[in-house]
Order: sequence, then structure tokens, then C-alpha cells
Amino acid sequence: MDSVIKACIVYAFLWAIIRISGRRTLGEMTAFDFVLFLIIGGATQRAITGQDYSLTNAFLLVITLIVIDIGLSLIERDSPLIRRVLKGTPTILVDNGHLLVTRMRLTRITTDDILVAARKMHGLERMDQIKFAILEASGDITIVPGVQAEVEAVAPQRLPTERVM
Amino acid sequence: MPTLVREGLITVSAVRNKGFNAALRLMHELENRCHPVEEHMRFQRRTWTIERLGWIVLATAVLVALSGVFGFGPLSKATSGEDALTIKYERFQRITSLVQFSVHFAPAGLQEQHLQLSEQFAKSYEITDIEPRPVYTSAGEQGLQLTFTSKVSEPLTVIIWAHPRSYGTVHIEARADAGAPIQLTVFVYP
Repeated sequence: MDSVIKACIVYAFLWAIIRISGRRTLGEMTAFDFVLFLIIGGATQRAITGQDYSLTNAFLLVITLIVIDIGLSLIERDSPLIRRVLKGTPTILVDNGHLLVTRMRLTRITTDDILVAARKMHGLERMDQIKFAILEASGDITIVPGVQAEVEAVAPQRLPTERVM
Repeated sequence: MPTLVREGLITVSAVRNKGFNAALRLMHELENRCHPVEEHMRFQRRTWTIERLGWIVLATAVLVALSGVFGFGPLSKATSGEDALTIKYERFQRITSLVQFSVHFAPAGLQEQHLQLSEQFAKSYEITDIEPRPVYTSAGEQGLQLTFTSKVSEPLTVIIWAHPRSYGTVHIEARADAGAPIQLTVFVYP
């Protein structure tokens, strides 16, 4: 019985901690964040398994966590409000080429983060090539390039080359 | 900005206007947008507020942990008893973590010292070690009785290492040969 309760408590605790720490932590996973998550995993794992290393306990834990996950996904499917509470909502950071500075401060996203996403997704070089930048609920930044950027991508400027005589 | 104002380049009303513009911009930024994704800014702003409150809670938890309220710190150290028998222990403990009870007997002029620990102790703790080892141990309705040999004129200090086995408040009663029983109250975190 207690392994089921422990799994529920740990699930709720980890969900709350990750929601409180903000989406930044999820999308922009650095090498250090990865180590941090390993430590969090290790610390909670020992608390939920305790001194019970039996197969029964391990199976019960895994089953409980998966059941919670399935249950929440079913609730989320039918209730947009609960989906928002559990997963968060997307936030537009660049609107038609305009940086929304207050929102960036509140989400702790810098112009560099947006430019990194722009380079990764579309190979864009400058801020003015970005039409929309959206911080998704998952923590990723997605970029919609502007028309100018698309034209540049289709017909890249010819670089003047030396003619071989 | 203040220097500009002093030099008369920006008038007070302009500064006021600037504040007004900033407020307008803030309002504009926090508005709902629906392209390319639908936003829920009211909800999002509430999330940001809760997030920041959460940071305060987490930081407070760290500070409280440093003080020892969650165990193993200055506020957790406790001493109980008077001359004949004193026990130093952790007021706040955590389930399964190893804790120390330091039992101090005043010189009693006897070859043997007895320590009686209430049944609650035996139920709530798993004793891993006692130093020095008792020469005789018995358990009964009154709890655990430990007998130690000591030098007649010297005080005796016994260290008991134990793991709490259940969480919640534990009331322990300890008694030596001489003197009244002493009470220890321990809170064990899950």
C-alpha cells in the first residue's frame, strides 16, 4: 500500500517542482541540467524504493506511475483547463518581428536563446528575419521566419568569386 | 535619465509621458494574442505569479533546512534530564536515517548502571550499536533494560546508534537507577 502512496506523492512533488522551476529548465537542457536531473532521479528513487528491493515493490511503483500518467492524459484530453494547469500554455515572444521584452523577462528567455533556436531550426542569422518566436508549453522555442528570410533561403545571395583566367 | 532632466532636455511631463508609454507597452505585451498560437495570458500571468511564490517557498525551505528544523542542525539538538541522567539527542529525525542518543550517567558509587528505555523506544527504533556494549540486556513490559559496568567514581557516557522505524511523534521515557524518569519527545519525518 505504501509504495502506491509514495509513488503518488513523489509524482505530485516532482510535477510541482518542475512547474515552479519554469519551462526554461525543460527546453534549454544543458549538460549541467542533465546532471541535475540525474541527481534528482537518484534522490527520489531511493526515497520511494526505501529498503524494499523486491520485484513486487518495483512493479507496483512502475505500474502506479504509469497509471497516474495515463489517468492524467485522459483527464487532459477532455479538459482544456486541466491541460493548461498541468502542461502550461504557449507564449509568443516575438510578434510580427517585435520583441516582447516584458514577456521575455518573465519567462527568463534572452534574445540569444531565440537566436539559437532560429539558427537551429531555419538557419536564420538576424533578429529581423524572425516573424514569430513562441515559447511552447514543452519549453522549446519555435520560430516562424519572416517572408524576407524565406526569400533569402530560397535564393541565397551569390558571393562574388574570383574568375579563373 | 536624471541628468537629462537636469539639463532640461526632457521635461517632467515628457518623463511622465514615458511612464505612461511604458505602462501602455506593458498592457500591450500582456494582451492575449491568437496568431500563430492561441494564448491564455490571464492564466499565464497567474502561472508566473505562482512560479515566483514557489521560488520564495523553495528558498525558505532551504533556509529552514539549514536551521535544522528538518533534522541534523542547530535547532534539532536537544538535551533532556538533570544531574543523575542526561540524554543528548536530535529533536527532529528522519525515518531510516541513523541518529545518536548520547546518555550520560553521573557517578553513582555503584559498579553497575542501569538504563531503562520505555517500550515506545523499542517499538520505534532499530538499534544498530551501543557503545560501550551493555553487559546485560533484557526486554519486558517496562521496555528495554540495559546494564552497564562502570568505575565507581567516574561518570559514564553511553552512545546509542539507532534508526527510526516509523514516522510521527515519539515519546520516550528513560530512567536510571537514581532519579526521576526523563522524557524525550522526538519528531520523525517520513
